Amino acid sequence: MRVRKWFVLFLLLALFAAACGSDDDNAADVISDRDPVSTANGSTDNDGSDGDPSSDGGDDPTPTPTSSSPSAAPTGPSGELHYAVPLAPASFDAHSENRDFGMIFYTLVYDGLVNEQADNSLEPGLATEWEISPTEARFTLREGVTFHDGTPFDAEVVKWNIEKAKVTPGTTGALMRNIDSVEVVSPTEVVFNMTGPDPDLLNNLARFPGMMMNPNVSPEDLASGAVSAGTGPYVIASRNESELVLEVNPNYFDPDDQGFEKLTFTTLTDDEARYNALVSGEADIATMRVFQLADAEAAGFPVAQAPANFTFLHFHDIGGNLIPEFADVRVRQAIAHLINREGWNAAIARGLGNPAVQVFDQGSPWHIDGYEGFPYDPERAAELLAEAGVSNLTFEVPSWGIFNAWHQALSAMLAEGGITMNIRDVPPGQNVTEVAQQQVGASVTIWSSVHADTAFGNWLSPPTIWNPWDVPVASVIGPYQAALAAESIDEQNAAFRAMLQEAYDLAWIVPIYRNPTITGYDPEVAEAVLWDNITLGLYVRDMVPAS
Amino acid sequence: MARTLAFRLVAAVPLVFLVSLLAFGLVHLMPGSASETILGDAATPEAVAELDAELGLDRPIIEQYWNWATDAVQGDFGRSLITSRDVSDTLVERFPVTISIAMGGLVVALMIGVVGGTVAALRQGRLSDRVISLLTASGLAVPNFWVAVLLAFYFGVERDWFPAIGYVGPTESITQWIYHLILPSLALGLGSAAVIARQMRGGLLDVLDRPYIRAARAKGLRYRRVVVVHAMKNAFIPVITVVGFQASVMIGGAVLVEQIFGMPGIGVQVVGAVLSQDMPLVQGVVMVSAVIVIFMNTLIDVSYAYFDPRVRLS
Repeated sequence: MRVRKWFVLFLLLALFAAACGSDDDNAADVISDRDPVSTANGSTDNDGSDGDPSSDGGDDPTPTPTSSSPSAAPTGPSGELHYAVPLAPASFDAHSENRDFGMIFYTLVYDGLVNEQADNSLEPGLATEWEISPTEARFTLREGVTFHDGTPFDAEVVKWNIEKAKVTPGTTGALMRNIDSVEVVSPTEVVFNMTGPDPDLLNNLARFPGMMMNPNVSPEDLASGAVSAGTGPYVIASRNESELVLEVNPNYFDPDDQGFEKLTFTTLTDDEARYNALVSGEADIATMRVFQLADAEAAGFPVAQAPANFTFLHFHDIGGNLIPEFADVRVRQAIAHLINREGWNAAIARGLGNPAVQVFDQGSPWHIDGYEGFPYDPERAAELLAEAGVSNLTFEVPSWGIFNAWHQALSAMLAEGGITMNIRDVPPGQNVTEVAQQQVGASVTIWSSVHADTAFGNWLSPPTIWNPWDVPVASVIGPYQAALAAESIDEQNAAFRAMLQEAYDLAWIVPIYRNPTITGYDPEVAEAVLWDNITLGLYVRDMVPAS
Repeated sequence: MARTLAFRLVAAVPLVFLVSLLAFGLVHLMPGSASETILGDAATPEAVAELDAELGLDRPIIEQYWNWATDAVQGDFGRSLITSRDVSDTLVERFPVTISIAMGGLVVALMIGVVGGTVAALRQGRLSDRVISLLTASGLAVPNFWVAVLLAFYFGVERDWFPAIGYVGPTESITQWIYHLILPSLALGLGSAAVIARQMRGGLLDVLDRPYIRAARAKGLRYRRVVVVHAMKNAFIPVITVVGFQASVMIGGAVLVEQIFGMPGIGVQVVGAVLSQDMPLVQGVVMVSAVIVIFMNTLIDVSYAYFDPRVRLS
C-alpha cells in the first residue's frame, strides 16, 4: 500500500510539474522574445560615406548581394535574438584566432579600423579616412569613441594593438608582416610605416589582426571574455562554454549596427539539437546541415543560403620533400583530373554547393574568365601518371570534423586512379599543426582569403605555414612582384590573375567546390543575413527584428 | 552505521589518490601536445618549446603532478588552456547539470525497474511477465542516445509537450528544472531500468522461494505484506549493487544525452577538452567525476548495512 501511495504521489508531482512547465508564461530563459517590433527608419547616418574609397581600398572585391536583406530599419535596438551555433570562439583575444567563423562574434564586440560587411566590402570603422602608399598608411581615427569600460580609443591604442598583432605567432603576425612600425601623430592620427606595398592591408585590418582591443584589460580577462574589451556595438554580458550573451552598447557610434537589444548565442554541437531548437521555438536562428534543409522548410522555417568558403586541395609539399612524387607537376595534375567536382557536390552538399576550378567567383577582379582548370578526366589522369612513371602512390592526411567527409570523398576518387590516400584521425586543429611541422604532403583545406594578396601570403609565399618547406616558385613569385609594382589597379589585378592561374596550372592549388552556409530562421523574429565567404557566417550587424 | 560510513570514507582517500595519478598520467600519455593545440598554425618547434616552458610542461612530471595536486586539493584546477577560464568555474557551472540528469535518470531507472521487476516476479510466467521481459530486452538493446533523439523529436518538437532542448537550474525554478529534466532522464534511465528490472525480478523470485517467506505465508500474513515488508528488502540487496554500477553509467551516459538535449553539462565540455588536449579541464573533470562515483559507491556500500544486518555485524 505504501509503495502504491508513493508511486501515485510521484506521478501527481510529475504531472503537476509538466503542467506548470508547459505554460508559456513560465517558459525557460532560452525561449525567445517573439514580440513583433514596429519599425521605422529613425537611424542616424553611419558615417560610412566619409571613408576614402579612392585609396588602395578601392581594389576591394566587387560587392555581391547578400543572401537576404534586412526586413526593415528599426527605430532602435529592440527584442532579443537567440542563435544556435555549432561552435563558439575559444578565445576572445581576436588576434589569436584564425578561423573565419569567429568573425560572427568578434565583429559584434570589436571594431577594426575598417569594418567588413556581409558582401565582403569594406566600410570605415574606427578610422574614418585613410591614405595608403607603398611606404606608409595614414589613418584618421574616429573621435569620441570609448571602449566598453569607458577607456578612450586613440592612436596609442592602435599602436598597442598593431604591435601586439605583429608579435602574435601564426596567421595574425604573418598578415601584419608588412607593417614595419606604428607612429602616433596625434590622438586621432596614426601612421603605419610599411616595408613595401601591401594591397590587402585594409582587408586584413578588417579581420582578426585589425581588431582593436582595450589595452587596459588583462590578457586572461581578454581571452576568457570575462571583461568586454571592445568598442563594438555589443558588450559581453556573460560568457561560458555553452552560452554567450551580448547586450547593446548604448554609446556605440553607429546605431544602425544594433538591431537587437540582446543577443544570445547557444553552442549546440549536435546537429539535431540545433534543428530541434529552431523548430521548437527555442532558437530564432540555427546553423543547419544540408540534410536538414527540406525538413526545416516543410516545418515552415525559411532557410537562407550563402556561398561560404571554397574547399580546395593544397599541395603543401610541392618540392617533394616528404612525398617525392608530388614534385612532379604531372602527378599533381593527374590528381586534379581525378576529382569529380559534380559528384563531390552531390555527395557532400546534396547539390547545394558550387563546383569550382578557381577560388574567386565571377565578378571578382581575380576571377579568370574562361579558365577551365583540370576537369574530371580519369583517362587523362592515367596518362599523366604513366608519363611520370608513378604507380601505387600512397600518402596520408590528418583529418578531423568537417574535413573527414571531404577526405573520404577525395580518397575514393583517387582510388579510381590507383592512388591510395590514407586518412588519419587527429584532434581538431592538429592538421594545421602537422602541416606547419612538415608532416603532411597535401590535404583538403578551406580557402579563407578574400584578397589575392592574402592568397599569396597564406598559400604560396615561401615563408608561410602552408608552404612549410619554403619552396620558392619563381613562376608564381614573378607575377606577384609585378602586382606589387603595378601602377594601376587594373594592372595589379591582371598580375594577380596571372599569379593565380600559374598556381592553378601547377596544380598547387586545386579548387574543388564552394560549400554553402545553410541557416534556418524564424521569419517572425528576423531574417538571416549571411556572410559571404565565411562558412557558418551570420552578419548580425545587418539584422533587425521582423516588422 | 556511522562507523561503517567513516571507515568507507577513509578507505576512499587512497582510491582518490590513485585516480589522481591516473588522471594526470593518462592525459600526459595522449598523443600530441597541448602547446601544439593552442598554437595551431603557429606551432613551430621553437614556439611549442617556449609555450611548454610557459605552461610548465617542460618540468619533470613528478614536479608537474605535485604542483597540480596541491592546487587541486584546494579546489584550484588551473585555467583552461583553450578558453582561459578557471576550470573550477566551469566545473561549478556544469557538474550540477550533469548530476541533475544522472540523478533524474537514476530515479527513472529505479521507479520503472523496481516496479517492473516486482510485477514481473509476482506474475511469473504470465503475459505481463513476458511483456516486461520483452521491454527489458528492448531497453537493453536500444542505446540511450537513440532514445534521446526519438524523445526529443516526438515529445519535444512534434508534440511540444516537453522542451526539446535547454536547461533551467533549480535555483531559477524548481518546476522548470523538473520539466526540462523529464525527457533526458527518461532517455538516460530507460536502459538502466531494464537492467534493474531484470535484477529485481530475479532477486525477488529467489527470495520468494525461501523458507522464511513460506513460513510467513503459513503464519497467515497477507501476501502483499509478505512481499513488501519481508521479501523486497532482501531482494533489494543485489539490486543495490546494480544501482551502484548504474549510477556510474549514468554519469557517462549523460555525456551523450546532454548533447542531444542541448544541456550545458560537463559532457559536451569534456569531449571538446579531450580532443583539444585541454589538460587542466580534463584532469578537473576526471577528478570530480571520480570523487562523485566514489562517494556514491560509498553510499551504496553503507546502504548494504541497512538492508543486510550481517554486513553491520561483520
